[in-house]
Amino acid sequence: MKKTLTANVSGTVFHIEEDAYDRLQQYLNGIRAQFDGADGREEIMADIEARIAELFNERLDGRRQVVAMADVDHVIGVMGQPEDYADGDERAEASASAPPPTGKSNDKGYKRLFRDPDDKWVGGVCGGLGAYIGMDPLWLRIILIVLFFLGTGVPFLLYLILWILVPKAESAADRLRMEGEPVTVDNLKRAFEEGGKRVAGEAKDLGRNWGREARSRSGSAAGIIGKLLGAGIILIAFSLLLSLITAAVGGAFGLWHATWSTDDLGMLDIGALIFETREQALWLGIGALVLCLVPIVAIMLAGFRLLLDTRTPSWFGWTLALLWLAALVPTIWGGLQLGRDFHRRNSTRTEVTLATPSADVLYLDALTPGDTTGWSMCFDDGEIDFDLEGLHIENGQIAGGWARLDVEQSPDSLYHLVTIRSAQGRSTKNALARANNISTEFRQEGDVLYVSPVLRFSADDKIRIQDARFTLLVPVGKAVFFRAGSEDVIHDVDNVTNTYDHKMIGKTWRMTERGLEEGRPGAEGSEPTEQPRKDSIVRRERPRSAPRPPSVEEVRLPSVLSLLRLAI
Amino acid sequence: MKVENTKAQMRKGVLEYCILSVLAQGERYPSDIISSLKDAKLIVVEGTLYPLLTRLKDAGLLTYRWEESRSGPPRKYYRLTAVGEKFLTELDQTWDELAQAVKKTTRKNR
Repeated sequence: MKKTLTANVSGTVFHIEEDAYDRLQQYLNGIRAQFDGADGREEIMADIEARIAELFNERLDGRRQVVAMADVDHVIGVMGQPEDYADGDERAEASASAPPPTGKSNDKGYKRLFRDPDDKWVGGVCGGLGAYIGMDPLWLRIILIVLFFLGTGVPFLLYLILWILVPKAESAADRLRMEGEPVTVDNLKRAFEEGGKRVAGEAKDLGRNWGREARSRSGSAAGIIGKLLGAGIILIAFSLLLSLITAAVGGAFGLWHATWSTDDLGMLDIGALIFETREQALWLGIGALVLCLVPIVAIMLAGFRLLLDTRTPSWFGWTLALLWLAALVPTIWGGLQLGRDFHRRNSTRTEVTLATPSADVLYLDALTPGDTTGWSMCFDDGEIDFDLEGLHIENGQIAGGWARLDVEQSPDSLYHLVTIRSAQGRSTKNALARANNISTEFRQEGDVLYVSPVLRFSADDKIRIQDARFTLLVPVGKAVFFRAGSEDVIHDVDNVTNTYDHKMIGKTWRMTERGLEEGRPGAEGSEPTEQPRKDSIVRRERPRSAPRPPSVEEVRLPSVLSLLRLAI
Repeated sequence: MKVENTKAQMRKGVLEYCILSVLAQGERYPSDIISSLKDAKLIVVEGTLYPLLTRLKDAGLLTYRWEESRSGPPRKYYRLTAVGEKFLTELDQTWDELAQAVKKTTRKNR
């Protein structure tokens, strides 16, 4: 025994078994869903129900009373699965979503940006955009290509983003909207009629429909190029992604284990030398990561679209775009915070009067900074280039080998050494404090002046373009001799013969009214003995800082920092 | 690529034309149209027809009248409108041209 229900199908009453009823209900709901949002849905549904009622009547044939499961299955077999209904063709959707025809049908419909699948070179973005702004797509393409060859990657990126985010004009209705024509039955019919008048056009149309799948799968020449391009793009995006992840992991490691007050120092502790706090580094890092990651993901999606003809759902595209915009906030915030600390520059000047050497020749030498393993001091084109490879961290102190020395005329008859130390800070006061924290080193031993190319400051001060300049003031008529080794510290020393620094080494240079000139002071001056007097002045410009034991840890910095230094 | 898909799409392309042609012979009720099309193997399931008819009617190519039926609900009898006839004439012409074109190209390729 089975329970039956009474169902009214298109005005006819049927007794129907419960399971058959459920099945029928499910079937009709499935069809209804296919016409979701369609204008003619109720009418179509009524027609279908009428046909179903008819089919039931045929099946029952007046002999049976109750519609059973088998009858419902038969009806479904005759009518087809819900998917078959929507299979009509794409115009079904078009007329379905058409606004009800009103009197003012010559109103321009609203325009929507679509990608034009019929007028495309790559993704149809230009074709759609051209229709959208009412311009020949060819011009847009020319502009894009010119911009691309001018070396700006922005239009390229923009194109990719549009490609992903802008939907393709799939149906006739989409195409009408793309052109700004209102989607009315008349327009659709006209579009259809226009197509019908041209054999070629029609054939192409049919061909397009039939060939659509063929094109997306099989390999026409264009298809192969597209796929190769897609594979290439994916490959590039993938390697970018890998390097980004490597950098991110490395960066996180460096920032997180940056305990530079202890011995636990690593390559990537540089971050700790630049950023004020870990939070700042974290936000800047995450922001920058997302800013880079999003375009890479977008590029990858484009690659997949080319290679596999996948469609990226628009919500995903918008999510990416929003994510990118959201990442701008911490990046700008962190960047501003960090940038603020570089806002002002200030310097402090100290001057020391040196003991006049015997024979009026001062011997200049560089003071080697103790254990220099790993220090790199390059001599390049007459210029001493310590680079930032000469940067070390020693027990909470940053040591950098970039102090420089110049020689100028003394205002009086004595030798002086002027030290100018400078640094950046968020205020002039702050910058001055940092400048004062820089320690430099020189000492005079008899006739020899040793100047260290190394400056030191506390790691707490962070790297804020600390710099130190020495100026040796030589009185007119007296001389300076550049000992071998002093090329580590002299920089761009002016002289009357425009001799390069490295050619000045090993020679005596006399200060004249015009500047430094090669030669001994006076006519009778003779070289002093190699062992100078032992009574010496030792001066160290240094803040009241803790004693500095010899180097414990050494960190080599990449030349990124030197770029940073040069930039400001 | 499945040959079934291509076949279905080819059929779909001419379905509207055939419906109009069937109706050109006189007033028809959906089941009649369906049986004609089924005989010609143009459609397999009936469901496809209903949205198509509604669309052609909405486009002003078809019109219908109700007729009482002894074996169930009232039936819609469809016929061509003047617009529909004109439309069909054009399609006839197009079809001929198309058939010629197909004949010509396929023969050439052989």
